[in-house]
Amino acid sequence: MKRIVLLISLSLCARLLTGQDLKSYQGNYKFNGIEGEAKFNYQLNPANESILQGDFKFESSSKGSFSENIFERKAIIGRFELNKKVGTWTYLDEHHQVTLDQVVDFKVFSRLESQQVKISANYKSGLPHGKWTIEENTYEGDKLKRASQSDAIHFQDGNLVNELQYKTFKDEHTQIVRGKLLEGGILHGELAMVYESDGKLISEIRNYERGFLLGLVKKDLRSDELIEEVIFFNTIDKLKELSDGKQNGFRIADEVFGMTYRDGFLRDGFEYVAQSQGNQFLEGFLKKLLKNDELFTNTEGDLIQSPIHTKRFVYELSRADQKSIEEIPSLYRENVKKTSEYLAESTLHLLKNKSDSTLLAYSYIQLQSDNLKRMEDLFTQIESKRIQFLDVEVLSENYFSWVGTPDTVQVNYMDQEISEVIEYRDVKSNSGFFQILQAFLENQKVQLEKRYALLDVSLQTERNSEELLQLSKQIESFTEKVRGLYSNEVIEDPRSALLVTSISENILSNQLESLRTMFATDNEFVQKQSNAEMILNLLTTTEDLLPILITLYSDFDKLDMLYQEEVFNPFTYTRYNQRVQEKLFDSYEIVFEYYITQIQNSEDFNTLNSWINKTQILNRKMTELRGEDTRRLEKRLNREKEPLKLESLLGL
Amino acid sequence: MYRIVVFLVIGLFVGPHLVQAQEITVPSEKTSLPTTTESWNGLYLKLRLSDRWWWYQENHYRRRSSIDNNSDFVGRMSQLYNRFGMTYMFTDYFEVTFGPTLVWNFTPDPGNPEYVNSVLEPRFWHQWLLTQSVGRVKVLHQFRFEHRFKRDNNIGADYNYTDRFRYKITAYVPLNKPKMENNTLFIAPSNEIFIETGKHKWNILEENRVYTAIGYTYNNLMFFGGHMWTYGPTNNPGTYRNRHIIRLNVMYTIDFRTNRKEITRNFSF
Repeated sequence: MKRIVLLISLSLCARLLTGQDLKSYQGNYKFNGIEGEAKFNYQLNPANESILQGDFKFESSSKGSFSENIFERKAIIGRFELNKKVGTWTYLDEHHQVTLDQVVDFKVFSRLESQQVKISANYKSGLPHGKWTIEENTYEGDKLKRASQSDAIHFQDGNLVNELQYKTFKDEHTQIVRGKLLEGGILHGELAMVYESDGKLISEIRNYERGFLLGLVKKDLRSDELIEEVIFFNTIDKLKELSDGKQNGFRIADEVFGMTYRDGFLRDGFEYVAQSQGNQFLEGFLKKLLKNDELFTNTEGDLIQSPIHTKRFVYELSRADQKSIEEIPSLYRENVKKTSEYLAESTLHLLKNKSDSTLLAYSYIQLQSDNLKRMEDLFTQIESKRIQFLDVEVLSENYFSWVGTPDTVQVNYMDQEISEVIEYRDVKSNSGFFQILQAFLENQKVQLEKRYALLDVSLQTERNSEELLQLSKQIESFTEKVRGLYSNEVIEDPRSALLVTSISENILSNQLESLRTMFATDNEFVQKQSNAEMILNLLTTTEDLLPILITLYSDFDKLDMLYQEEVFNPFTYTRYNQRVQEKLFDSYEIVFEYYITQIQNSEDFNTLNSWINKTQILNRKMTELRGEDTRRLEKRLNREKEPLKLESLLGL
Repeated sequence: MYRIVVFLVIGLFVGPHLVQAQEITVPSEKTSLPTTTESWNGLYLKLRLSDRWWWYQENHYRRRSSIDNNSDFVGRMSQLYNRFGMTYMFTDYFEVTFGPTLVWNFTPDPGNPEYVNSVLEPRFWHQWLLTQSVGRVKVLHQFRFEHRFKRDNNIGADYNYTDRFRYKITAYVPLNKPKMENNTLFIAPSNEIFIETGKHKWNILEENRVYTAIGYTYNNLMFFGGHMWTYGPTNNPGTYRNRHIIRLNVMYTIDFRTNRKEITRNFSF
């Protein structure tokens, strides 16, 4: 009995541990960005996410555009355990292109060109682990050819280890990778590569010491010429120092790095550039191999994590260095930003030649912009704190010896060679590289600001004259347009025509002319600008007001009609319009006429605008009051003839 | 059209009584009484009850000249005249009205014990009213029929039944406006002919009235007044009278329709 109870308890525990029941799925599925159909089992975790469990099958086939006749196929078989790949997986990718040649006697003549990639992979806990093979075939001219062959690919916990041997067959030659990797994917010993780059078939041999690149040699196999040979003496010396037990402020970093080995050089250093071609070839191989693993490649096929690593030294940084590392990036970015802004200013391209001093200032900014660009990779490393893995002493010596030395700017102004020497005091007197860098950037900033100030004066004068010219043009064309609008508007109602004529005279002639005279005679730019703004305001206002002005009387007529009712006189048997809310309308007429008089007499566009607004408000108010019970209001309005009192009584 | 209507009315209502009238002896010599004067003051009401129906009412206060002074207009009380009716308006150009009239006729000789001070004259009346526009002038044709029970003021006089037919033509001529409308000053000349039948009547022509009025329309009110000259036979065969009457009238109309549709004018500003 006890045994039975124990068995039931264990069974329940197992169910609780494994969560919910497995569910099967068969249908549409997206694998690493590729759409297809999949069949698998899954269960839902507490967050309602699918956890794949058990066998997994995926297939996709697609046809490209009709004209291209391209067919793609992908087939994947594998197994998941708690959403992680385990065991053996096979990936098959096929790309077929059919070219239709002709049709004779109801027979289609066509050609097929295909590429096929078969990968057999092994995983443990979702990471590549164990032996992998990759096989590539091409089909062309009715022949199936082997395109690549992997003799040894071994993974351990996501890193390539042991022997690595891979060949691809292209045309008449074979491209090869052959090397050795230690645990953790660390390159060690000889790495031999044969690859094609820039039209050359290159043989590259590298020599690594536990992840540290000691040297490389490249040879053109077709011409048998030595292309380049790089020996990383600094690295060799440092490794020796470490093996001798010397303490020189550096050690081997615990971290591992990508395929490119770095120490005391930047991206544009020959040591870095020399590795590019070989690394590119290696990367191509890895992209192909790991294209089905989201951990290593993204949907675009780029390698986001490498299973091959190098090692680097890590250097001690003093407190002062650390402080500078925190502070200098913002100083650097500020100088970069401002120099770029000044160099991008199109007006300066012309203005720089205004005088010898402006030309010198501009050239200095240009020179410093170039200098700052040379520091871009350095500051990328500083900002990412990866600078600790670079030997700044070597960097300082090899790349930045010019920092703090006087700059000489030479220009040719009106056929005369002029030069200026700019000294950076107290820069070189600093002890550390970062302190020198900081002092230089600060000095550079001071020097740059002097030049900015000089150029700003010229720039501002130029901008002012340019702005005034633009304003004058704008005022002229706008004046012509608005005056044209007022004079060409066909107004049938003589009352409205009179109104428009008055405004045309008072505002568009008198006030506008007065403002234009002020604009022309003022000497101060700010005053001129303010006058121009007022003129443009006047023109905008009068332009906007014209359609309203024309409708003022027609609005009045509409209200006149609105405040009448058709009645039938049963004594004379006539129908006619009869005024309603008479007192209200009488008062309206008085206020309206008063407003119209004010509009006609307005000599300032702001006042005019205000009276027109008031008239519109009055008309709106009258529309609202039609049909309302206004008897009490009309009693108050009774006998009142004063427009301002009526205005107040009407609540305007 | 109007001619036909006039003949029909004369034929239907007046014709049979002509025979009876011929039994009275009429002197060959015509006698004209001295001209008298009167003043009539009237209030006219027209209340619109629905799109078609109206209440019609007129109340008159009429005085006439003294016995010894024919030209004083107001010397004696003459009539209190109250006319009521319901009007059915077929169109703006044709309507029919019917209803009672109550008239108090006052003694011709106040203080004379041979007369009662006032006697009631009840009537039933109905009328057709046709209007037409002639250019800017509005022309009204009024056909009125009155069935009257009338007696003299003499003590013990009997009531006589008479039928009266009236035709009036009025022209409203606007003076300050192109057409008759609100705030219009107008002149309204009119002529009305009265034809009466009854056993005691010696002449079917009862009276002719020529009236020239000046009026003004002002919203619901209309002021209307002027001079009227009447000419016609008296009850004494061969004797005729004529009168100059000053008339002053106020006309008032109210629309009682609750579901009245206003002229919709929605304007947006």
